[in-house]
Amino acid sequence: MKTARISLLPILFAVALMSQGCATTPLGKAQQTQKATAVSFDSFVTFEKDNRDQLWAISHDIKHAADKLRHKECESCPPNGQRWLQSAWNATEAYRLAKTDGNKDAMDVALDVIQKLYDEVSGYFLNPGVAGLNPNVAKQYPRAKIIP
Amino acid sequence: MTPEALLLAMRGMLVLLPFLKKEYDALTAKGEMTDEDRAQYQELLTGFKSSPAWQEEPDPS
Repeated sequence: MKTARISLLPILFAVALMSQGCATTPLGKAQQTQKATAVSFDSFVTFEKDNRDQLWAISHDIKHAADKLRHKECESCPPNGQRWLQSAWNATEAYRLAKTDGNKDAMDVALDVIQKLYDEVSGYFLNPGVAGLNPNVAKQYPRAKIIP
Repeated sequence: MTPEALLLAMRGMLVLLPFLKKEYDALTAKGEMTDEDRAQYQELLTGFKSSPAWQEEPDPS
């Protein structure tokens, strides 16, 4: 029995190491989420601008959602969508450099902001009127998926 | 195990330790961006600044 327990130890260690290696770390998930969101935001504002007249006829909310990302708080400020992405990135970099609870909380809050907007933007792409507008919309305007 | 063999085994461990640590770090950093990935992401964000699609325009009449 003792022999069996000893021989199992390296296997258990390897399994533990592998299972930890297979899971995306909080930092990795945060970085991938931001990249996916950035690509989606850019696709959304581009799609809206390229198809404005048709989309305006489907729903005024689509342009207004894109304008929420484009809006600047001041003349020299970046558009809100870019500002939120940069804030999330800064918080993620702070966590990467110092993995403290406070930095993780700040990163999670910043991610929550862009995640909600990502969900909203994805919702507009799934709108039946929008989807019917161009069957190849997903190919022309790539939307990256967020890791669950 | 003789003391000599034990010492040899410990030396071997010391030699392998940096390699094992590197492998362990690589495994546990799954999904994290490399320095190159991070630089590319910053370029992506910078590219948005000059994109006309990001300019706010009045509603169509």
